[in-house]
Amino acid sequence: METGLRRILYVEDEPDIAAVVKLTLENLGGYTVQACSSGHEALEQAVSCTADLILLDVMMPGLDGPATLEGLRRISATANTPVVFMTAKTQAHEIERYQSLGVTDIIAKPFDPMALPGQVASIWSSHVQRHESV
Amino acid sequence: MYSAMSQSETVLSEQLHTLKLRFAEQLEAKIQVLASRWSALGGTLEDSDALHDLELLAHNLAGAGATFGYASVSETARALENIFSRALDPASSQEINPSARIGHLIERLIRAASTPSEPVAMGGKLARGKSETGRDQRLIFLVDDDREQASLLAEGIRHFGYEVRVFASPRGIETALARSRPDLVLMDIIFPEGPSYGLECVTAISDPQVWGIPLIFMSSRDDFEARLAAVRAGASDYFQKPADPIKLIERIDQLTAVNQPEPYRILVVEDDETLAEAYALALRGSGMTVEIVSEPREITRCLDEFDAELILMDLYLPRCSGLDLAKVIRQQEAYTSVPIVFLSTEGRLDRQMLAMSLGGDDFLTKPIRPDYLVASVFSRVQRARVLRSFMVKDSMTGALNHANILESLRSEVARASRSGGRFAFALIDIDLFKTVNDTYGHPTGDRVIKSLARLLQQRLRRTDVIGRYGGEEFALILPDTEATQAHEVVDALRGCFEAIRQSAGSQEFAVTFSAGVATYPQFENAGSITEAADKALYLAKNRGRNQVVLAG
Repeated sequence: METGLRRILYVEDEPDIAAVVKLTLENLGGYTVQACSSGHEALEQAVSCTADLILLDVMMPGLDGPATLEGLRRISATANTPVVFMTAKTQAHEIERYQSLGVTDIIAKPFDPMALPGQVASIWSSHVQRHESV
Repeated sequence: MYSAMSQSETVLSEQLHTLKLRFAEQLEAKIQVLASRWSALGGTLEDSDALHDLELLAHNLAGAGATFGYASVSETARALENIFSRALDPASSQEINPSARIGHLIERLIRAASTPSEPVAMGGKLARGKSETGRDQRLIFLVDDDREQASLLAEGIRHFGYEVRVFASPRGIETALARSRPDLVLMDIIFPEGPSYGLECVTAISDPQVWGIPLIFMSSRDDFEARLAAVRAGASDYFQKPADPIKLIERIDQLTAVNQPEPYRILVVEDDETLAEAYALALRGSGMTVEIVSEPREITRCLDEFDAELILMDLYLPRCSGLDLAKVIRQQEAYTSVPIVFLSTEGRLDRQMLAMSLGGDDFLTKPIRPDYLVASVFSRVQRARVLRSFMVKDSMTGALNHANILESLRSEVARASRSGGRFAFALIDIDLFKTVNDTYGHPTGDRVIKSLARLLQQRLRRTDVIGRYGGEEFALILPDTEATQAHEVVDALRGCFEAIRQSAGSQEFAVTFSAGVATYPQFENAGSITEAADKALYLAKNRGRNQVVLAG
């Protein structure tokens, strides 16, 4: 199995957050980040998506995180791509609900931008470990 | 490589600063939008569209504030968001006077916007639903005599949220390791003291408490001797210098991952309780879980309950020799592969050989140094666990193989009957799989099977058990699940699987599955459960495939 994380599809409606995430993930993490500003845009991009990982904001106008996830699962290019939710809603029952949707992990907002690449890297490596046997 | 990284680091922090300034400039305007939307409502909480807007505005501020150094903005906005979302949900408990509280919070928000706190280090904490280790930041020891290179490397690693301590020489490393217990050691090999000095120092470490710490060697040496010596010194990996930083970080992440493997389970069978405690102490000190049995007849009960991965056994036990006991253990199918290590003062080689021939895997002579005991047990149990995972798992899909899914089903029946619980069992069979193979070829067929395996692994809970039942057939055990729930879950999986566009070259196609579901206690033993699920599956196929049928 391919184990390197290179390309990330990132969906976020807040331009400020989007800019800082793209900046640190690209510069510190060395990843290639393709940013979308809405769930709809993400679904359009998904058809030709080659991302290894998808970062998805949960609360967005229009298609929210769970709805976008549902759509992504119906597109072959992203049907099995691991999805990480980024959310300020991190109460136990909310996390449980997200996990029941099949997300790989959850990053709590607000986050420390400098620590984000490390967080993403460790989510990726535990994901790879979990699926190494596949 | 690292100097380039550190240059771009400067650029990065400048850019980050610019973004923070931009956020700060717009912050007040954003809060004003929120404030004016709120005052437009005139203190009422009736208009749910407007409340949704307000909730989203507050939510975005809560999610962004602290990222840009405004921790109290995040805090206050979160309190606001909670009030709005509770107002939207009539079922939830309401604030006593929400309007006054909202006004008050908005005022506080405006004040908070004018006073940025210090850039908060939120730590690399993940909102995982699982336990965290106590220490927030993982600690790494870096041992390298090239100060400049070491500090650049340390800087690079720190970016990923690690704390790094740099040592110029491995001399005295043992004491430092025992005191601080880092999560990982990165060690050079060549030092001014000698071309293998790093290896020598690690090999000389005698404190078993520090052996569990993951170790990576980095060296410009790439000869076989160096790599071999590194393995012998207990290294988890070996990077040739200059190391690719991203690969190195990935490996460090893996080795220090929060979800550490479960501790190894060791069963000690020894009638001398003081000795047994001494062994247990040494093994527990290295992170293993230990149970002690001093009475041979207790062993069967203990094996079942403790699920030991290795048995450490005295050769001479009261009433029953260790050899006989080993035979008893080996007669039970479930324990044929559990390593048994004998411990005894027996110095006679022929007795030792006999012990081995009866199913012992190793023979350790008493008295034994604790460090040697830990090392022997550790290497055996580690390998046993890996081998076991090969034995119980299907190599293509990572799901349990046929024999082991049935074994899991039997233990689930036992568990549920003890606790009065319930569970569901599902058989899933890919529809017209032969046609897929015939039309697109076997490699494509294999990919379809893998796509189903991954779907199951991603969508099901961790407590659910997934097994490959046959070529294109999977079995699921869903603990604590009722018939209707199970039907829903499997039917949702069916919908997801059907929606996946499979591809072969430039062709795209869809594949479906049929499933039969049976539940406990409606069917009360493993045999009747599988039979019922199988019949239901047959019905699903007969009724036109691509559907889930509930048995009974």
